[in-house]
Amino acid sequence: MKKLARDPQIVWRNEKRREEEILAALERGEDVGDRGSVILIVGGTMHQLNLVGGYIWNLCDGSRSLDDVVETLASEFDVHDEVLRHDVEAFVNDLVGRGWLRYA
Amino acid sequence: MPDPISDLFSAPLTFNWTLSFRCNFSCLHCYSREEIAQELSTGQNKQIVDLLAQRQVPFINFGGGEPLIRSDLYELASYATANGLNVSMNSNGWLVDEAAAEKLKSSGFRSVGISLDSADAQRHDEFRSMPGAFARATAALDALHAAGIKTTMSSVVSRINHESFRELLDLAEAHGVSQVYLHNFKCSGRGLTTAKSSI
Repeated sequence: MKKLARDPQIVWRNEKRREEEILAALERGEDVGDRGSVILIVGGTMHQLNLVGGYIWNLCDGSRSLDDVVETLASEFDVHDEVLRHDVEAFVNDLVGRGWLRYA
Repeated sequence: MPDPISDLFSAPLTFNWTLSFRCNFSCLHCYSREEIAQELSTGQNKQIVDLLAQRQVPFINFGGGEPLIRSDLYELASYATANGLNVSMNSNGWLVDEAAAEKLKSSGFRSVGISLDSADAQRHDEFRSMPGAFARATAALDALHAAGIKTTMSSVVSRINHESFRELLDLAEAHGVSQVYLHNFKCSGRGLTTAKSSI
Protein backbone atom coordinates (compact mmCIF):
# COMPACT_ATOMS: atom_id res chain seq x y z
CA MET A 1 0.00 0.00 0.00
CA LYS A 2 1.24 3.47 -0.87
CA LYS A 3 2.79 5.55 1.88
CA LEU A 4 1.76 9.08 2.79
CA ALA A 5 4.49 11.70 2.48
CA ARG A 6 4.62 15.43 3.06
CA ASP A 7 5.62 17.78 0.24
CA PRO A 8 9.30 18.38 1.05
CA GLN A 9 8.99 21.97 -0.20
CA ILE A 10 6.64 22.82 2.65
CA VAL A 11 8.33 24.38 5.66
CA TRP A 12 6.68 23.38 8.92
CA ARG A 13 7.26 23.28 12.64
CA ASN A 14 5.72 21.67 15.71
CA GLU A 15 4.82 24.32 18.26
CA LYS A 16 5.46 22.52 21.54
CA ARG A 17 4.32 25.34 23.80
CA ARG A 18 1.08 25.63 21.87
CA GLU A 19 0.58 21.88 22.08
CA GLU A 20 1.05 21.98 25.85
CA GLU A 21 -1.48 24.82 26.12
CA ILE A 22 -3.96 22.92 23.98
CA LEU A 23 -3.57 19.72 25.99
CA ALA A 24 -4.13 21.71 29.19
CA ALA A 25 -7.26 23.31 27.69
CA LEU A 26 -8.46 19.87 26.64
CA GLU A 27 -8.08 18.70 30.23
CA ARG A 28 -10.29 21.61 31.28
CA GLY A 29 -12.93 20.45 28.82
CA GLU A 30 -12.52 23.37 26.42
CA ASP A 31 -13.12 23.12 22.68
CA VAL A 32 -9.68 23.14 21.06
CA GLY A 33 -10.71 22.24 17.52
CA ASP A 34 -9.58 25.54 16.00
CA ARG A 35 -6.35 25.93 17.92
CA GLY A 36 -3.20 25.14 15.98
CA SER A 37 -0.20 23.16 17.21
CA VAL A 38 1.61 22.74 13.90
CA ILE A 39 2.39 25.63 11.57
CA LEU A 40 3.02 25.26 7.85
CA ILE A 41 4.44 27.90 5.52
CA VAL A 42 3.04 27.29 2.05
CA GLY A 43 3.81 29.77 -0.72
CA GLY A 44 4.51 32.51 1.78
CA THR A 45 1.28 31.96 3.71
CA MET A 46 1.16 30.49 7.20
CA HIS A 47 -1.38 27.77 7.95
CA GLN A 48 -2.08 25.96 11.20
CA LEU A 49 -3.14 22.41 11.90
CA ASN A 50 -5.04 21.60 15.06
CA LEU A 51 -3.94 18.96 17.53
CA VAL A 52 -5.25 15.90 15.69
CA GLY A 53 -4.36 17.34 12.30
CA GLY A 54 -0.86 17.95 13.61
CA TYR A 55 -0.57 14.35 14.80
CA ILE A 56 -1.61 13.10 11.37
CA TRP A 57 0.81 15.49 9.65
CA ASN A 58 3.68 14.23 11.81
CA LEU A 59 2.81 10.62 11.02
CA CYS A 60 2.89 11.22 7.25
CA ASP A 61 6.67 10.90 6.98
CA GLY A 62 6.71 8.52 4.04
CA SER A 63 6.84 5.38 6.17
CA ARG A 64 3.11 4.89 6.82
CA SER A 65 0.08 4.11 4.70
CA LEU A 66 -3.35 5.56 5.45
CA ASP A 67 -4.18 2.33 7.30
CA ASP A 68 -1.02 2.69 9.38
CA VAL A 69 -1.94 6.26 10.32
CA VAL A 70 -5.47 5.24 11.32
CA GLU A 71 -4.13 2.31 13.33
CA THR A 72 -1.64 4.53 15.18
CA LEU A 73 -4.31 7.09 16.04
CA ALA A 74 -6.76 4.38 17.09
CA SER A 75 -4.38 3.40 19.85
CA GLU A 76 -4.32 6.99 21.16
CA PHE A 77 -7.92 8.18 20.76
CA ASP A 78 -11.08 6.64 22.15
CA VAL A 79 -13.08 6.82 18.90
CA HIS A 80 -14.99 4.19 16.96
CA ASP A 81 -12.74 2.77 14.23
CA GLU A 82 -15.05 3.63 11.35
CA VAL A 83 -15.57 7.19 12.52
CA LEU A 84 -11.82 7.63 12.95
CA ARG A 85 -11.06 6.22 9.49
CA HIS A 86 -13.72 8.43 7.90
CA ASP A 87 -12.32 11.58 9.57
CA VAL A 88 -8.68 10.77 8.89
CA GLU A 89 -9.40 9.91 5.27
CA ALA A 90 -11.32 13.14 4.75
CA PHE A 91 -8.48 15.17 6.28
CA VAL A 92 -5.80 13.37 4.29
CA ASN A 93 -7.77 13.73 1.06
CA ASP A 94 -8.07 17.44 1.71
CA LEU A 95 -4.31 17.81 2.12
CA VAL A 96 -3.60 15.58 -0.88
CA GLY A 97 -5.95 17.79 -2.89
CA ARG A 98 -3.97 20.85 -1.82
CA GLY A 99 -0.74 19.10 -2.81
CA TRP A 100 0.61 19.22 0.74
CA LEU A 101 0.58 15.43 1.09
CA ARG A 102 1.11 12.82 -1.58
CA TYR A 103 0.97 9.05 -1.90
CA ALA A 104 4.46 7.78 -2.68
CA MET B 1 0.30 44.27 23.85
CA PRO B 2 0.25 40.46 23.78
CA ASP B 3 -0.51 38.91 20.42
CA PRO B 4 -2.49 35.67 20.82
CA ILE B 5 -1.21 34.38 17.48
CA SER B 6 2.52 34.97 17.85
CA ASP B 7 2.83 34.75 21.65
CA LEU B 8 2.99 31.00 21.71
CA PHE B 9 5.45 30.62 18.87
CA SER B 10 8.48 28.72 20.07
CA ALA B 11 10.81 30.86 17.95
CA PRO B 12 10.75 33.47 15.19
CA LEU B 13 9.90 32.30 11.69
CA THR B 14 12.49 34.46 9.94
CA PHE B 15 15.90 35.64 11.08
CA ASN B 16 16.72 38.84 9.17
CA TRP B 17 20.47 38.87 9.28
CA THR B 18 22.69 41.88 8.66
CA LEU B 19 26.01 40.17 8.04
CA SER B 20 27.76 43.46 7.34
CA PHE B 21 27.01 47.16 7.06
CA ARG B 22 29.52 47.34 4.18
CA CYS B 23 28.12 48.01 0.73
CA ASN B 24 29.37 48.75 -2.77
CA PHE B 25 26.58 51.34 -3.12
CA SER B 26 25.93 54.55 -1.25
CA CYS B 27 22.18 55.00 -1.63
CA LEU B 28 20.59 58.22 -0.43
CA HIS B 29 17.82 56.47 1.46
CA CYS B 30 19.72 53.55 3.01
CA TYR B 31 18.67 52.66 6.55
CA SER B 32 21.98 50.97 7.22
CA ARG B 33 24.61 52.73 9.33
CA GLU B 34 27.72 54.22 7.89
CA GLU B 35 29.99 53.49 10.81
CA ILE B 36 32.61 50.79 10.62
CA ALA B 37 31.53 47.87 12.75
CA GLN B 38 33.40 44.78 13.78
CA GLU B 39 31.97 41.75 12.00
CA LEU B 40 31.63 38.22 13.24
CA SER B 41 33.90 35.55 11.82
CA THR B 42 32.66 32.71 9.66
CA GLY B 43 32.96 30.36 12.61
CA GLN B 44 30.96 32.67 14.86
CA ASN B 45 28.29 33.03 12.19
CA LYS B 46 28.08 29.25 11.89
CA GLN B 47 27.48 29.09 15.64
CA ILE B 48 24.52 31.39 15.13
CA VAL B 49 23.23 29.05 12.41
CA ASP B 50 23.58 26.16 14.87
CA LEU B 51 21.47 28.07 17.37
CA LEU B 52 18.83 28.90 14.77
CA ALA B 53 18.66 25.27 13.67
CA GLN B 54 18.38 24.14 17.26
CA ARG B 55 15.50 26.58 17.84
CA GLN B 56 13.86 25.47 14.58
CA VAL B 57 13.86 28.92 13.01
CA PRO B 58 12.95 27.97 9.43
CA PHE B 59 14.08 30.99 7.41
CA ILE B 60 17.19 33.16 7.20
CA ASN B 61 17.10 36.30 5.08
CA PHE B 62 20.51 37.88 4.56
CA GLY B 63 20.60 41.64 4.23
CA GLY B 64 22.96 44.41 5.04
CA GLY B 65 24.83 46.25 3.70
CA GLU B 66 25.29 44.14 0.63
CA PRO B 67 25.38 40.44 1.61
CA LEU B 68 27.63 39.50 -1.32
CA ILE B 69 30.35 41.77 0.09
CA ARG B 70 30.97 38.95 2.56
CA SER B 71 33.16 36.43 0.77
CA ASP B 72 31.88 33.66 3.05
CA LEU B 73 28.22 34.20 2.15
CA TYR B 74 28.08 31.07 -0.01
CA GLU B 75 29.78 28.98 2.67
CA LEU B 76 27.43 30.26 5.34
CA ALA B 77 24.36 29.70 3.18
CA SER B 78 25.47 26.15 2.34
CA TYR B 79 26.00 25.48 6.04
CA ALA B 80 22.56 26.82 6.91
CA THR B 81 20.92 24.81 4.14
CA ALA B 82 22.69 21.64 5.27
CA ASN B 83 21.26 22.28 8.73
CA GLY B 84 17.72 22.43 7.41
CA LEU B 85 17.23 26.18 7.12
CA ASN B 86 15.86 27.99 4.09
CA VAL B 87 17.99 30.89 2.93
CA SER B 88 17.18 34.00 0.94
CA MET B 89 18.75 37.43 0.63
CA ASN B 90 18.25 40.99 -0.51
CA SER B 91 20.86 42.48 -2.82
CA ASN B 92 21.37 45.48 -5.07
CA GLY B 93 22.24 42.96 -7.80
CA TRP B 94 25.53 44.55 -8.84
CA LEU B 95 27.58 41.44 -8.03
CA VAL B 96 25.05 38.90 -9.35
CA ASP B 97 26.17 37.70 -12.78
CA GLU B 98 25.52 34.25 -14.27
CA ALA B 99 28.37 32.64 -12.32
CA ALA B 100 27.25 34.17 -9.03
CA ALA B 101 23.66 33.10 -9.69
CA GLU B 102 24.80 29.51 -10.19
CA LYS B 103 26.80 29.66 -6.94
CA LEU B 104 23.79 31.06 -5.11
CA LYS B 105 21.71 28.21 -6.48
CA SER B 106 24.22 25.57 -5.42
CA SER B 107 24.51 27.21 -1.98
CA GLY B 108 20.82 26.58 -1.45
CA PHE B 109 19.29 30.01 -1.96
CA ARG B 110 15.58 29.55 -2.58
CA SER B 111 14.82 33.18 -3.23
CA VAL B 112 16.77 36.38 -3.92
CA GLY B 113 15.33 39.86 -3.75
CA ILE B 114 16.78 42.63 -5.91
CA SER B 115 16.29 46.30 -5.06
CA LEU B 116 14.83 48.38 -7.86
CA ASP B 117 13.32 51.75 -7.00
CA SER B 118 12.22 52.89 -10.42
CA ALA B 119 11.45 51.43 -13.81
CA ASP B 120 13.32 54.42 -15.25
CA ALA B 121 17.02 53.49 -15.44
CA GLN B 122 18.31 57.03 -14.98
CA ARG B 123 16.12 57.70 -11.95
CA HIS B 124 17.14 54.45 -10.31
CA ASP B 125 20.84 55.09 -10.94
CA GLU B 126 20.63 58.63 -9.55
CA PHE B 127 18.69 57.49 -6.50
CA ARG B 128 21.28 54.80 -5.86
CA SER B 129 24.19 57.14 -6.70
CA MET B 130 25.55 54.45 -8.98
CA PRO B 131 25.62 54.73 -12.78
CA GLY B 132 24.71 51.41 -14.37
CA ALA B 133 22.89 50.13 -11.27
CA PHE B 134 19.61 49.62 -13.12
CA ALA B 135 21.21 47.60 -15.92
CA ARG B 136 23.10 45.41 -13.44
CA ALA B 137 20.00 44.91 -11.28
CA THR B 138 17.81 43.80 -14.18
CA ALA B 139 20.63 41.59 -15.49
CA ALA B 140 20.81 40.04 -12.01
CA LEU B 141 17.09 39.26 -12.11
CA ASP B 142 17.56 37.53 -15.46
CA ALA B 143 20.61 35.56 -14.29
CA LEU B 144 18.82 34.41 -11.15
CA HIS B 145 15.76 33.44 -13.16
CA ALA B 146 17.94 31.47 -15.58
CA ALA B 147 19.59 29.69 -12.66
CA GLY B 148 16.20 28.62 -11.33
CA ILE B 149 16.09 30.85 -8.27
CA LYS B 150 12.83 32.54 -7.38
CA THR B 151 13.21 36.31 -7.54
CA THR B 152 11.47 39.15 -5.76
CA MET B 153 11.80 42.89 -6.21
CA SER B 154 12.02 45.46 -3.42
CA SER B 155 11.26 49.14 -3.84
CA VAL B 156 11.32 51.89 -1.26
CA VAL B 157 8.29 54.13 -1.74
CA SER B 158 9.65 57.58 -2.55
CA ARG B 159 9.28 60.69 -4.69
CA ILE B 160 10.72 58.88 -7.73
CA ASN B 161 8.18 56.07 -7.85
CA HIS B 162 5.02 56.95 -5.94
CA GLU B 163 3.21 57.82 -9.15
CA SER B 164 4.57 54.97 -11.24
CA PHE B 165 3.94 51.70 -9.44
CA ARG B 166 2.35 50.23 -12.57
CA GLU B 167 5.66 50.65 -14.42
CA LEU B 168 7.46 48.92 -11.55
CA LEU B 169 5.04 45.98 -11.75
CA ASP B 170 5.46 45.79 -15.53
CA LEU B 171 9.23 45.75 -15.08
CA ALA B 172 8.94 42.95 -12.53
CA GLU B 173 6.71 40.92 -14.82
CA ALA B 174 9.09 41.39 -17.75
CA HIS B 175 11.92 39.87 -15.72
CA GLY B 176 10.00 36.93 -14.24
CA VAL B 177 9.79 38.35 -10.72
CA SER B 178 7.32 36.46 -8.54
CA GLN B 179 6.64 39.11 -5.89
CA VAL B 180 7.12 42.84 -5.49
CA TYR B 181 7.60 44.35 -2.05
CA LEU B 182 7.02 48.04 -1.41
CA HIS B 183 8.91 49.25 1.64
CA ASN B 184 8.50 52.38 3.67
CA PHE B 185 11.45 54.73 4.02
CA LYS B 186 13.19 53.99 7.30
CA CYS B 187 14.37 57.01 9.26
CA SER B 188 17.72 55.62 10.28
CA GLY B 189 21.27 55.35 9.06
CA ARG B 190 22.21 57.44 6.05
CA GLY B 191 18.56 57.87 5.21
CA LEU B 192 18.10 59.90 8.38
CA THR B 193 21.33 61.83 8.50
CA THR B 194 21.86 62.84 4.90
CA ALA B 195 18.82 62.41 2.77
CA LYS B 196 15.59 62.64 4.72
CA SER B 197 14.52 65.82 2.97
CA SER B 198 15.13 64.44 -0.53
CA ILE B 199 13.29 61.14 -0.23
